[in-house]
Amino acid sequence: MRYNRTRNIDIQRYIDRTKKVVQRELEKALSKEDILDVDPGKKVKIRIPYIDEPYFKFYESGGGGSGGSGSGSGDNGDPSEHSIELELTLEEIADLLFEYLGLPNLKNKGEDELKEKFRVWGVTKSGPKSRIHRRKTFYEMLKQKRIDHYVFRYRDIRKTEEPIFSAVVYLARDYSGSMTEEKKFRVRSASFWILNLLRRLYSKIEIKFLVHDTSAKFCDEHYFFYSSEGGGTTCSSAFELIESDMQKYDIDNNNFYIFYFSDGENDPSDNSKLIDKIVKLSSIVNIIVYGEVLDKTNTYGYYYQGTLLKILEPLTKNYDNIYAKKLINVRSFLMDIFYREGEK
Amino acid sequence: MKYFFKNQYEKHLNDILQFVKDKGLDPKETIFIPVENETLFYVISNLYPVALPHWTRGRNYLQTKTSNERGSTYYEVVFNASPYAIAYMSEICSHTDILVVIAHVFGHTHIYKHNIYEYNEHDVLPRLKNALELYEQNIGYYSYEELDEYIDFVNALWNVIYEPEKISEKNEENDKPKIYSVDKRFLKFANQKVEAPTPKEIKQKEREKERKEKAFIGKINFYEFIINNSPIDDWIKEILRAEIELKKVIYRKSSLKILHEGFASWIDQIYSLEMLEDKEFFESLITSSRVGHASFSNPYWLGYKLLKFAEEVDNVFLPDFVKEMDDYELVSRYLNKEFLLYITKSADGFVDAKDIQEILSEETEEDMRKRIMSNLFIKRPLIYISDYDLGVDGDEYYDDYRIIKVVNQTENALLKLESPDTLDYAYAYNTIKKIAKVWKGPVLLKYRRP
Repeated sequence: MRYNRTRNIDIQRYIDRTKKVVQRELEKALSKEDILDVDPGKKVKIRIPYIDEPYFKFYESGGGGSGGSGSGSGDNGDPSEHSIELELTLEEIADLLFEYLGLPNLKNKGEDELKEKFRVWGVTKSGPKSRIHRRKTFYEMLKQKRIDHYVFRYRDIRKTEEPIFSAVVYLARDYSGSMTEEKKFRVRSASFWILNLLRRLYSKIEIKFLVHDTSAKFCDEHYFFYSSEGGGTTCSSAFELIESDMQKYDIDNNNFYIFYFSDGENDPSDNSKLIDKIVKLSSIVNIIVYGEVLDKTNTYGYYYQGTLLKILEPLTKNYDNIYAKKLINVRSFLMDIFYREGEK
Repeated sequence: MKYFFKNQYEKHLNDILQFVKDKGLDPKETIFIPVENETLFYVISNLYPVALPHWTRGRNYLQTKTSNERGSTYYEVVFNASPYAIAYMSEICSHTDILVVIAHVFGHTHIYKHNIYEYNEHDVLPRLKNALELYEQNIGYYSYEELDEYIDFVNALWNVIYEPEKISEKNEENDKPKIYSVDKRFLKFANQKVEAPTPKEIKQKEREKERKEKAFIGKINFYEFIINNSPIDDWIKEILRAEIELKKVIYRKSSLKILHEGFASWIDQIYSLEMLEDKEFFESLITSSRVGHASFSNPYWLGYKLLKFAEEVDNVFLPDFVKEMDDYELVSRYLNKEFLLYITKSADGFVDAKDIQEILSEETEEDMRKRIMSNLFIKRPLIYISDYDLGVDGDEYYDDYRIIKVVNQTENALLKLESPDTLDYAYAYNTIKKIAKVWKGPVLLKYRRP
């Protein structure tokens, strides 16, 4: 039916017009819990404000005057009354969001594997009927002033080769008793968007989760995000385990990412070992990120130690690929790591 | 009368038709077409079965869909096409709903056939189809976004698509006192003789009048003037004209909305009460809201109550009464103190009798009516072509007026628009940008500053 075609085009163009508004709304969704729990492929509802077309309108004192009609920012009147709900899949949300944030800005290594890709490109004199190029054929007819099989032109399909980059991502965290529910949620939220971002970049990606107290171990995703146990803290154990695990891979042709989350507590005698490990690993991996997770109790509290951040921050000045950041806001955390990668 | 797809409704259709005819209705020939819900939303949101692609249509569709998800139900949409009216029926209605909605549709088509204000749409559907074909032929050479810009022009002029008779009267009244009386008074004040105009002056005045007529100065329906004098392609002009015709239909529809929905609800209520059996009747109560919630902004409820009130007070026969009535007349004649007391008596529970007493004691009847009517009938700003002199070298500010300009297009002459009203700057600027796009020349707008 005719409606279906025009309807879909109209809806798509409306969404394109409101793209910036949608993206602004999505930015709020970065730290919302309901998005983190959505299964891939399922749709999430996002509410966006109504955008007016231009027309002559009376001046209303006390608002509405500055709303640019039809320009993409026209949020006139009560937004709750006119708001529209859009259904987007997680992939679409990630696409829109990362485009808006301008992420990521990463350099890749390793091109040993090439992927064959076919695309419609150019014109040939032979081919199947389904690929007849009508405009070119018509043009040839006029040019040669005849109609036979010599005038037919076909769209060509050509083979191109694109390199495949592969990545190994290590997500590590301290699972000692001091990691509260709020801190774990922040880790989960940041990890969710980091993995989403990296999955979009690499078709071949391996994600490894590990937790540690005084010794480190690999675990599954659920255990990584939800577990917490008592005990001391030796951070270098995690990096030791990562280092030994990395021996399994071809170092030149893989991109390694290490994300380590902790609340900043470490055994003081372990600090020098930790720094050595991190410096050693930084020559191999693309990025090493340390995120110091804080919650309301210790963000501004007087007993906030933050030992690790103080120790690791000096390293970030000397090494391009070492990051040490506080993880309070997911958006700024992501922007700090990925957006400034190219500039650094 | 014809019901596509579901043959079992042929018999019901004739029964219902006979029933409404017994009640005094004489509906127009109607074709009932069941459609899937998504199509129904698209047609309802754009108020017509054929529409040119435009981004606002996607927005309207999403809005209708959202409101449906929040609980609004849509049963049908009817068009006064020629020679038959067309009713799109929702496919997912229950059996009882379909019967009641058919009666409801006959209420609409009775008004289509007999109401003197009803707009004859026979020209619009083929014209829009033609425009759509032109659009599809040319979409290969233009992008959708480019053509959107042209259709934006019609949306931009949406406010000035009024009924021509009313505007011409208004305009003459506005113009007369301004031009002549002031000069004469000044002459008298200065003790100078008021001389009779010489033949030369009379001729000059006539020429001036001719020039103004030619340049459409003082006219409000200037969209046709802009289209005629624009250097754009003929097929785009045809598309714009078809879109304007559609806007006119929608405008006329909106001026009969309360009457239409009120009357259609009246007949479907009678049908439900008299014809449905126990089980079906209760089903109809459960599955549908019919007249909907009690609110002055709900045309179904307000129209239904006003018509019932008119029937009770003036003892009118409604099928005849609706023939010479429009919304404005219905509301201004019957929305009064007695009506408010009548609706509290009928126990719809939207306001207590106490509240009504308070409203009546605080507000005079005239004020109350003005308030309610200003919500029902939205007033729109007045815009017309003018020939004012510009100030000294781009001086944008007059005493009380402000001038905004768009000068990025230079193919056509300068177009000067004027409004005596106070306008919203952002909206006005974006609007004249759209006008300049079609006019292909610089456009100025002078309006009263807030």
